[in-house]
Amino acid sequence: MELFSELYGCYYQTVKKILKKARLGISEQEMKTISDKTAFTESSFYILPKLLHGNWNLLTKKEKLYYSKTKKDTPCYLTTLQKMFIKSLLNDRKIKLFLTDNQIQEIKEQLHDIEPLFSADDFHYFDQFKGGDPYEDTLYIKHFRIIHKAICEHKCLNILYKNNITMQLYLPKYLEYSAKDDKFRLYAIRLGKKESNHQVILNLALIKEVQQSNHCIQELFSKDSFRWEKVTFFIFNERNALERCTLQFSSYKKQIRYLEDKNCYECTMYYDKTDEKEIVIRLLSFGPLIQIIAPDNFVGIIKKRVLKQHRLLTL
Amino acid sequence: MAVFQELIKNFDSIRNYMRDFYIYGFKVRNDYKYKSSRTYDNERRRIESWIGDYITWEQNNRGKSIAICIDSKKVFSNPLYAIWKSKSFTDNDITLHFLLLDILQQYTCSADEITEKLCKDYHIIFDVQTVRHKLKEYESYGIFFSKKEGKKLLYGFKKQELLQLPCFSNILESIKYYQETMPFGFIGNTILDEMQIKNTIFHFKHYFMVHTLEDNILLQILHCIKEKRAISFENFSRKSNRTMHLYGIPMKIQVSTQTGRRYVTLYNPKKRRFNNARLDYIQSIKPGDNIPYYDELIEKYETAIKKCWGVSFYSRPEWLFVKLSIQEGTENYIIDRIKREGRHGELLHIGKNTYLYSIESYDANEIMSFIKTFTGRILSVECTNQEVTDKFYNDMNCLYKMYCKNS
Repeated sequence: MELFSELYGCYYQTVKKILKKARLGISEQEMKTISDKTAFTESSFYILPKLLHGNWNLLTKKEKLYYSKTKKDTPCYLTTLQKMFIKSLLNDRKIKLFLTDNQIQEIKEQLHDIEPLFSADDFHYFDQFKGGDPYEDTLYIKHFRIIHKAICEHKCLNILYKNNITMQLYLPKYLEYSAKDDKFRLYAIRLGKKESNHQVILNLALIKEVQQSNHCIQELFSKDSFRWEKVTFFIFNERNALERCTLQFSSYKKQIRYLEDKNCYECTMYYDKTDEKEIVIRLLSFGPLIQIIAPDNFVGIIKKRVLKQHRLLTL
Repeated sequence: MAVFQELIKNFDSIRNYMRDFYIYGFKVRNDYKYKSSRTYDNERRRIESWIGDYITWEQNNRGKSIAICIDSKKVFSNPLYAIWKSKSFTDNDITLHFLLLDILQQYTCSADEITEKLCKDYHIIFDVQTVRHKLKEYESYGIFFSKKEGKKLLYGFKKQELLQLPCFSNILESIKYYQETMPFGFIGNTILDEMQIKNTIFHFKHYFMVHTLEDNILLQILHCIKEKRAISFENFSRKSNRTMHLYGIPMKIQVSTQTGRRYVTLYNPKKRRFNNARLDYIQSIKPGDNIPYYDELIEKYETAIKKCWGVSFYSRPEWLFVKLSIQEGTENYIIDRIKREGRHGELLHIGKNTYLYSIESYDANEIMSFIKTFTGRILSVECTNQEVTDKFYNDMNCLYKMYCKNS
């Protein structure tokens, strides 16, 4: 079973789109546009000559336009490998968020002769937090589907959250999943009359009730509504700290450089302000193998905890 | 001199560069010792072409460093999947791909008939053996089917009944999520590509995008687990910078959602114990013999794993006791955190605002990163392994000197 195949490559996808457009005629510029959007930065330098000069024998030129040699559009298909991947999903706990039991059964019947690519039993997530979301709970599934639909349709939602007494109006933006705590969170704009609209993060498991609202609203904020902060720290490469730190924080944007005079690495990492408490904890887990140097308020938080710790141990 | 090609034949050649650009990002040309500088230049140029939007450069006195900078919260799809979409092919490959699909979605015919159609209808001459070879290849991919009709072997385009199901759109919605959370997620991404849709619904936190680079190795290991086989493999350790040839019986894949590491737990029959090998260190795998006592080993593994905090299996478990100061009533969230994150440890209320976290594990040292997250609350640490205790107090001392003594 070959994972690495040209069938899944962006060149094939690009040519598929070009051939579709070429049924009614396509210009060189249009081919380049498709290639730039679908393939890699340099791809049009390779794809266009092959198409235009006949190496790939897929187009004929009539006046200024090119026409596909194919009689029909290239059909969509799934390979056995792709079907095996889909089969593996059907046994996942979260599949019921997307499919009913009948739908799951229908798909299993369609794929009866397909082996799953992998089994959940082959994997052990040894440090995943306990208390993940209740994916088999019917109310949770119902809320998930309503929220998912509202995001797709850009519709507002009325949500009763946590200990609130009344429902609030929200514009849902997207769902965020964290494998660490196995939870979904909804990023939404809370819409209020008196207070200004602002972004909130809601734990899906703590939503008591959700209803689709007929309220339609244009997107009020730019797509990037995060408040980005940065923290700078030294990494002392003992006990494999450099590799541990850079891998652990690989999901964050960061810059690292080697300081020859200090024989350590300086890392500047960018994070969402709402994640600050978590970042403090995770940096503390490295002990003295890292030293936070900026910003001052961050250093202050660490210093306060270290001082408190010192007093506790010297009591 | 070979002309630069954007696409690649061999996945493994670029895997290490991509990984290092993403994880480290501070290395310059001379730091890359895998192959020649010319190879570095080519691989760098490829990666820049594939995911240029996420590349940053910095010029310093050591040279120019290249980094892949991605915040997983800001993307809807893993940019590193580009590596899976970069396989090279011949002119014949791509021509036959589209023309065979065109012919076989309309007709069912033999290799000879197809070769004739290619000549008559598309004005392209192919050798019938070339066509037959491609037909067999696509049959193995599950795109075409073959059937005997008399003496002829006919080929046709496989019916895509799954795509016709009304709930197929629901499957696609699920794949928008699963493409980033499941093993081999890039396959889900290729399904979305084929259907020409994109994920705009889900973001992902604590997402280790780099895992996709190990999927080839992962698939081979999973095959051997399924067939209850041993494996021999080449293990290149970045720590020691050495390659070793190792052998073991794979049991399970251990995934850390916090550190980004993935391992395969192996049973070593010579040493008669379990150990772990990092997936990102494994360079190549050779399947071994089927193991008749595999199920017994699984039972042993299930017993042993209960005392593991992480991935260390030693012969003698160690006990760790940590006293914590937690304000009753107002700091219940700390108690909740310990219960959520403390794995098989136990938390006892032993006095006013005082709690004892205790845990038995094969390697108490693995737990200390978790314990250090409670810096500011730790009243004492005791461990049956005195080295762990000493290291903790030494670390706290170093922290105090680092932040408080000179200020």
